[in-house]
Amino acid sequence: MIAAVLPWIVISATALIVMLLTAIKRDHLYISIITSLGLFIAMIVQTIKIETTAYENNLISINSTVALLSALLILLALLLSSLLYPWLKKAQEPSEEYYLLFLLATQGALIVAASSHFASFFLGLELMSLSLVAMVAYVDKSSKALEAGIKYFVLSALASAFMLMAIAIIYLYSGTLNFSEILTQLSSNQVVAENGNNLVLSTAIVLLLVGVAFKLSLAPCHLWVADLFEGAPLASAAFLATLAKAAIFILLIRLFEDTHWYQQSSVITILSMIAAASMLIGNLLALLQNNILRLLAYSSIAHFGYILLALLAIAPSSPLAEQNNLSNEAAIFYLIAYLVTVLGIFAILMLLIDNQQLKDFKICSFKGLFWHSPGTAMVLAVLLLSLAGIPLTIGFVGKFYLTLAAVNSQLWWLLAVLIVSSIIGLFYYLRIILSMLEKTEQQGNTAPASILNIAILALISLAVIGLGVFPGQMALVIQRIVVS
Amino acid sequence: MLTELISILLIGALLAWISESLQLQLPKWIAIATLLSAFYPLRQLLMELDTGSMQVWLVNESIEWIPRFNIRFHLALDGLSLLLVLLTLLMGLIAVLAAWKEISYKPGFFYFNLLCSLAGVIGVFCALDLFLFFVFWEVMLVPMYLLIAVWGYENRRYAAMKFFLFTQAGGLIMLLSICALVLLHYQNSGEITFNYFALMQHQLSEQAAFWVMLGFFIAFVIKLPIVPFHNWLPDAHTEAPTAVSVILAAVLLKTGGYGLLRFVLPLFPDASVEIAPVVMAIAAISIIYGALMAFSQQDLKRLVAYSSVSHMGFVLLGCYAFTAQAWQGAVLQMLAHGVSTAALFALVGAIQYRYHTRDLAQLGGLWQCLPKLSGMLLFFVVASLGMPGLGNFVAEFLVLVGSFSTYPKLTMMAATGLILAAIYSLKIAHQTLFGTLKLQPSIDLDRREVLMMFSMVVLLIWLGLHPQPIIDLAQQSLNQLSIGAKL
Repeated sequence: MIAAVLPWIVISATALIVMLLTAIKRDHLYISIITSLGLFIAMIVQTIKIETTAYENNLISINSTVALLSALLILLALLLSSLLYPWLKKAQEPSEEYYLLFLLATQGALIVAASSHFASFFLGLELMSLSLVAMVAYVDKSSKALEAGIKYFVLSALASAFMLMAIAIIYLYSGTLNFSEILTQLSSNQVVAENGNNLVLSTAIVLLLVGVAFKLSLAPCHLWVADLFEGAPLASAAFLATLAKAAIFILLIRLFEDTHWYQQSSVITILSMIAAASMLIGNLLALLQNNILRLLAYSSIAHFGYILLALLAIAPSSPLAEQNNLSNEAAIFYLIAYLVTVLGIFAILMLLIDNQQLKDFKICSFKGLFWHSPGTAMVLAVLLLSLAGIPLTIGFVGKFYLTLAAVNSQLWWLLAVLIVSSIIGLFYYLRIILSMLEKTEQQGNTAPASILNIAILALISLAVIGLGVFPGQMALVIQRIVVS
Repeated sequence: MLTELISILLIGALLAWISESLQLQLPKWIAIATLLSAFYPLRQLLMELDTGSMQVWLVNESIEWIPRFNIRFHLALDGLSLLLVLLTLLMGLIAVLAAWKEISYKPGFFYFNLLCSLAGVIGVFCALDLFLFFVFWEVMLVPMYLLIAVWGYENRRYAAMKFFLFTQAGGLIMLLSICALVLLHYQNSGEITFNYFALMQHQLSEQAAFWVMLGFFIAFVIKLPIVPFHNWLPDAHTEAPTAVSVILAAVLLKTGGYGLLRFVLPLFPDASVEIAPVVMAIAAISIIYGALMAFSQQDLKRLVAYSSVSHMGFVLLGCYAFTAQAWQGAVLQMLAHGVSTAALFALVGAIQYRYHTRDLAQLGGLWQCLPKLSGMLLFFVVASLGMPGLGNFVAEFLVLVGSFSTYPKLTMMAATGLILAAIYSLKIAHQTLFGTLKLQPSIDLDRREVLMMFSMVVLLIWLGLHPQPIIDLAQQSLNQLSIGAKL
């Protein structure tokens, strides 16, 4: 028991220490180091246990897949936390509390990812969301951040309400909140059995999907995301784009499998529509954006549309070849590829702000970046190509997995949408690269960036290219973990 | 051997880039040295080459890459690949010479991209693992895109974008087909593999074969390019710097024809025979349409670009006629068109470098002041219209002879393309070389340019007078096709 949740204990303990230290003596540097250290230890503990962990009780269930993804989440949090220091140092507000919120949100994300019961799911979700609200609004005198914070708070509460309604309906008919028991309980229920089809379950699932789609900013519940990315502090937006969404998606996979959603044809239809709409709407709206953060926000809608394909491919409807677990592997690989790449892009944006080169993130302010700071521009170009799915980057391998899984499950019309929207997507990624390539006379005044920031960028770009060129080992690890 | 070849190019590319900070003249010398030393791994092969008694596969290298899907880093070389690899290296040299004075902005990065795209193209010509092939297919685009987008002319961003999007669309469709093919193979045999030979053994059902084939076919004809997918080519050519036009015309378009011969015909012989009449018709239309469009252009570079569309139609015609001569013709056409069009683009570039215009209305009477350049231009114009004794004639003649026995009507239609070629080619000669001189006299070809042009003249005459060794070299690979198609 303790072994399985040891990383959680470490993170919670770190949060407590940070809280106490803040109360006793404020020191930004110490707290920053303690946060990173705590996350680092948690990550080590989690990584050691990936293949041996298997723990289940009524509230949570940790298997090696969850352990792997948790390790990934903690790693992302660790990378992000080490970027916080230079950014927060410039902020006018006291900065120590941000670390507390950050740790709590991370803890919430981990709980959501591991939950197998609606109670633990909801608690984790609220822990994450409420911390995020504060993180989004956490910045000096920026009305945009406040606006974003309020927007996120209200809509997030609404989404929670939808989910609670869904949970209540499920409980009403099945008498259980445990994911894996719902189905058996429902089928033994008199009312449901008499009505024939599981209309109740479908209703509940649709309500639940509304909440999940909101959290993942899938179309048509995507309207908030661009304002939030633009208004929120970069670090909070990065957290939202990576950890928060990943945790919810991991949960979605689990719900999909454990409660056998794929047996409901209406759910499959709805999910397919959501996937197609997200891919198209995300990419089409991204075309119109001039701000790179808004562009990233819309592209994240599209990317979660893509990854829904892997989820839909899990449904065992007439696969071409009995490739066991291919769809699961595809979902995990794509998730990893996307998260690492997006975190890299946020790290670059933070670096650029740090260097005072950029005040805003209009695409045209990247003009000539390639010529006056080639290193940064190259990394950004590689990351964008990875998002676009060009070979020799991790993004391509992810897209390859996805295509293979979707072809295997014969999702032909969704694949057609995937192709069309990928082409549209490529257009705006190339636009940024073109802008960086434009010839300019003006010299960038590059202040030296912090070594930590550069090191993290180097690490991420190494991972993006390294795993793009040699994905063999990682593919084997994922296969082994999914099978076990 | 092939891995070495590709690594040499990539290392040279990096060196060229790094050397930029030392000296601005250094990158081009490094590029030349790299391309010359790239012949080194091939030396033994070329020396011991005996077309009489050679095996189908001259080189075969395979390393494990992604064990999860049994993907291997599998490179191999047969006669056809060897010819195209040699063409790539030679035209690479020509391209570096063409860029010699033209490129002064960030030369290191220019040659880096140039060498990288050549490495990618060679990878395409050698890869026998479908996944690896796809990776090379996509990877060669990125440096090409940068070359057009950074060093091109006025409208370069639009052209670069269009080029990338068209080929990427084709690429994604091909990726779907590859995935479907591999999974169908797995369904039957229980073995997941991207290996060319293994997948060739596999018999698909008629319907599946058609759809999977179509994915590959579309990707390749976009690259070739064939009407109606030719739209990107005139823009890309017009806006690209001279050296890039040379590479694009001489090498990149050939990857499409190579893909048809290497993958579509052997993997899906029955489906290919089935759609052959339609494809032949498309090819004939492409030949005529390209020629007509070429005739109506005012921009010299655009004119040559459209003539490429017309000439590449012959490659498609040759591929789908399913006769030995037509296939030989298609291979020869790829080589001859590569050389002659590369030369034309280099000459147009030379004119543009001197007069800063490519507009036919502004040019004229060049013979009076630039006799060497004009003589060369006349030679390659005549080559491109299919003058007997030069490579293009042999190629187009073989294609037409080969196709006539199976599709006489369509071949007759396509043959009118030769007459139209004469019209637009003579238009080039007439409007640039003769008439009154409208521009200031300028310096004639220098020694570097003469060397470059002269080597291509020799190549074309050799292809025209003694093509047999080339045909012999490719024959083994083409025999495989006829076995597949049960001829």
